Amino acid sequence: MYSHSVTLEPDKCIGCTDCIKRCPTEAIRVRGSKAKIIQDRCIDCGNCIRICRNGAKRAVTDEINMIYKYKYRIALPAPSFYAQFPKAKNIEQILSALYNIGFTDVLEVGCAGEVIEKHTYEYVKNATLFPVISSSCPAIVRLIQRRFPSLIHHVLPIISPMELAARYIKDKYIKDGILENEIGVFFISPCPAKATEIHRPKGLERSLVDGVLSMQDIYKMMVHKMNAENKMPVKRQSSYRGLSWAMSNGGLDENTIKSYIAVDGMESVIGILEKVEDGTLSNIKYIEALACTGGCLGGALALENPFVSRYTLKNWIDEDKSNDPIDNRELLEAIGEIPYLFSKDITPRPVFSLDNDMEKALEMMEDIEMLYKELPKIDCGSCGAPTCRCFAEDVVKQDATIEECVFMLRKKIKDLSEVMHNLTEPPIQVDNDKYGKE
Amino acid sequence: MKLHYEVDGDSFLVAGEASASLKRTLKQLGIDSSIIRKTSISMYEAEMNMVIHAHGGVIDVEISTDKVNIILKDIGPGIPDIDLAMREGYSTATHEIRELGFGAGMGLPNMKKNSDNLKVYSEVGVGTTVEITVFLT
Repeated sequence: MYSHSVTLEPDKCIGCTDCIKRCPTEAIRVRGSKAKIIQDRCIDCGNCIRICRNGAKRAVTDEINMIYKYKYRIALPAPSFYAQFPKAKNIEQILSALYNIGFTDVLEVGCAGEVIEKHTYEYVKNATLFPVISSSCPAIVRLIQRRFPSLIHHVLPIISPMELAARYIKDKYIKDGILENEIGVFFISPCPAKATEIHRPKGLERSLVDGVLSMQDIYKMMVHKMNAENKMPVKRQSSYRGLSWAMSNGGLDENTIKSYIAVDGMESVIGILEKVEDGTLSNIKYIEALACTGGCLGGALALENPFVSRYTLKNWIDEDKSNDPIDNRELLEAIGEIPYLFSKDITPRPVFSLDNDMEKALEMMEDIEMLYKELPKIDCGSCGAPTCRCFAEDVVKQDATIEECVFMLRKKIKDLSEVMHNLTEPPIQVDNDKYGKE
Repeated sequence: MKLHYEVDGDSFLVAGEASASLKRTLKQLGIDSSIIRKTSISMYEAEMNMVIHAHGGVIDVEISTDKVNIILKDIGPGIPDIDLAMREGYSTATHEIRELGFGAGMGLPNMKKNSDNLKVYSEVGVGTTVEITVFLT
């Protein structure tokens, strides 16, 4: 059974505890000097991959050679992919290199983004529950399921640009008479969350994307083939509007959706979602929430520094704006015909609850509060849990013993040594009066 | 189970922390998310009122299997006319407070909308007690 795309290589892990505090769902513990990921809680955001200094946290994506299982191999490059090549002459050069590394066709995900943009404006115009929260970042959808399940109905029930692009291109090939099992569609991804998304999609029965390739994995091949001759004429499909999906503002235009907040970076997103839960942002119409700082440009599988990437992409966007507009009207119309709404609801997965039985949960809660009072509350991480509160919960749930806290251990040693010291005193004082001296 | 919070009336930076803390606790207890939402909205409004008008106070929460009971006590100026205060849009917030975006006059009405039982006791010059009950079933 497919589990997660964020995994741990135990051989490389030294138990340094750098990762445990960066996890937004408190899904990592260090036990026996090795990190362990609690599968239910992991949302594949890649924060731990970014911080791990030993390379022990890895993303599991598909191998490039798997594309050869298919006769027709279509690349779906995310717009953040272009920014990894600041020295490229133009985007056409990047797209043609994709042909050179083995793909038979390329569809820029940016153009699906442009269509999703229009569908989103329509949806927000008719929505009744505000703010509407973007759903194209799979890590955010998973975060909401686990940590903010009360906000599930706020999530925009529209598929991601990656999925829409896959649907459109497969539909087109099938209409041209090609068999579905001969068509392989591959997303070139800045992050591990997209890899998990195609195996366990939210809001749909199954994803039409056949594989997710990490931008890091194909980078070297791309660089080698960048200047090679390409026999295929490459036509741009996405206008500058599609390219801006890679940035922290997201793909929507602030002037069309007035009262719009764009937030990037896990901690900042969590802060904003807490406010939505408290009801203090109900006057905001749309929130673009992206798990990575810098938007997709800051994804865990990106090579370039996200601030440099932003500069690169912005230049290309400005260039596109000043050149003749790319004529993709016909293409956008065709993509616009494809169904784009979620076909099923997102299920809440609250992983923070102690027990299904409320009475038992209350009892455990009281035990946790009592234990927490004894702990130093400094969240040092030596016990392997991210906070003292988490540790108290682990102990009550019997996933950890109290002695794993260095401070509690020392206190116990002190108590034990006092007992031992008392044992060295003579047990009963000799009462000379009672026994009389000779 | 009982929980106790002290609300610092002079710090806007940490205002809302008690409601945030209770929200985390309720999530751990596995309470239905729509009920948590009601509880956190009404408690947040009450906590903010304590900071805006009364220089802080104390909050005592009692959680049982059938309900959450929140009692907020302050020794602030008190509310002269409670019915008037319950009216939407009515606010006694100062100019500075309104500049910060608060004081829209929706606090008490929001509390009433988001709780199953709301009791407000107040005496001018003595203080105010707000009791919010949200049923879990």
